Amino acid sequence: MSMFWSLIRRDIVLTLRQGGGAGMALGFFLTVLVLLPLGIGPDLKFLQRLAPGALWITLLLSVLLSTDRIFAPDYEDGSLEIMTMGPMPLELVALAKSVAHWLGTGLPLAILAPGLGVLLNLDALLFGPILLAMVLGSLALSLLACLGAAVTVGLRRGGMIISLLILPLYVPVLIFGVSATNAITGVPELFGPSMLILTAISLASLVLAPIAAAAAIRAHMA
Amino acid sequence: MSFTAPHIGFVLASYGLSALVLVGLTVMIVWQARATANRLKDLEGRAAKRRKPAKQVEPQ
Amino acid sequence: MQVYANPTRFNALALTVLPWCIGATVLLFLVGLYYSLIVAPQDYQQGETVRIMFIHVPAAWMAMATYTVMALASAVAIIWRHPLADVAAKTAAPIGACFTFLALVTGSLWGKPMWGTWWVWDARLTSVFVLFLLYLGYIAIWQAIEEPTRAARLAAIVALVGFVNIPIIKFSVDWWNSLHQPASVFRMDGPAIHSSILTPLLIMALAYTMLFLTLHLIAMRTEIMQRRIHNMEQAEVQG
Repeated sequence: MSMFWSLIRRDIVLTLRQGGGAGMALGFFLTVLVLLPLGIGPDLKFLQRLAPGALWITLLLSVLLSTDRIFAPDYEDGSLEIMTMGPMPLELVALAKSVAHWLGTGLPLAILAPGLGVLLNLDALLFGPILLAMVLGSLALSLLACLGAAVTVGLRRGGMIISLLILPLYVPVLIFGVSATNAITGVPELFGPSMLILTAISLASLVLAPIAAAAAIRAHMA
Repeated sequence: MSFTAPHIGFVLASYGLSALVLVGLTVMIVWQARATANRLKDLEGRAAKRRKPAKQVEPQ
Repeated sequence: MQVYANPTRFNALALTVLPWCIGATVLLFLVGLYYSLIVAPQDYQQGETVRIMFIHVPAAWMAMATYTVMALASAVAIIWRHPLADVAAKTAAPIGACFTFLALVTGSLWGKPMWGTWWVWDARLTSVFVLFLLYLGYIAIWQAIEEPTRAARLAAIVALVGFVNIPIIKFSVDWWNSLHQPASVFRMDGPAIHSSILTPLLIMALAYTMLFLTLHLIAMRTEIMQRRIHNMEQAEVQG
């Protein structure tokens, strides 16, 4: 079990050391948040309506952007192959990497999102809901991103295919995430069901995504 | 079917496009099948020829 | 089942069945088009545009059915390593993608006269759009990976993940749609289905199914031949 935690710790340290993880994703996040009003117009009321959806989409894209670094470095220096043969089941390896990705990229963005939402005039009532929904939803996003990375590891144009593979998987997270975020100012009764479904998606991904990711890695290593 | 009904253009466009795509798909699949079958015949012919020289140099 | 694992056996079987499939396809299309374009009456609300339903709905059904075939074949490929399973999955994908494309475009052409816009984000069209993306992703995997066995396994995983995801996507899009649609929901299948509408629809659906079967069998034979060619070319280079 301690191997599990040390793998997570190792990945997070690597991410921080390279500075490419949360930093790059945050940079991307900010860039998009600046471009949105520039493209749409400074009308604050309009931006406020757009804010929840725009923040979620930006979160999705930012997480997607950082997927190539989940397995690529290990694949290139051969440590992925060693992990395949090691004592820890490959499914746990995939899970550890997903959690590390979440802690290093998804979770920080989720926590910062409400504050950054101010740029889009996000309704203050929604700060709490969006934080909660994004924290839960970003776990699913990282797990699914890890699955996509496992399928495309080592492919030359993996980046393009990853988007095509993962975005359909992200659709439910997006829909229920925005639904939960908007509930308070829209239909309050929907907050509970949306959050529950979002959590269910994250939990289901927690179990299923690493299994599929491990199968994909084995297919690459075979 | 009345050809003067409103929006008849959409109906014709739908049927036309469906026919185009489905016929096109069929043509492509059949063409690929024929091309592959020919290539296979070529290769099998060449493989047979490669076996023949072995028979001809049998000791007299 | 194991009997058909042998590609030569499969080819022989396919050759016997194919003429019947082709005949059935042609016949069903002739009858179906006759019913769709001539026998079926105008709808009192939609006029002639209701005829689009006879090619839109079967295309959508086949889009879903083909993906199911792909997913089943992928499952068989992963679990039992049946050699023809990944051939079946690989060859079904382009056909399914075409059906999905047609479902989208005919849906759009039906939507414009009905609702006034070329594209409507209703639950069904949106789900079909996502299905189209799933097809494209699956085909992309086969093209991106050179080694055939590896490509087959990864494609199978992608197909199964996508298949598990389809009901979830449908559910979420329905949810999303109910949040944003006004009370009067537009129903894609038009007014209540009575026999003058049902008969052409079912005949066309059968025609589309037979077309899929025919094209799929031909494509599978082609793929099997291509693998033989690949092996023979290898042998030629080495021998």
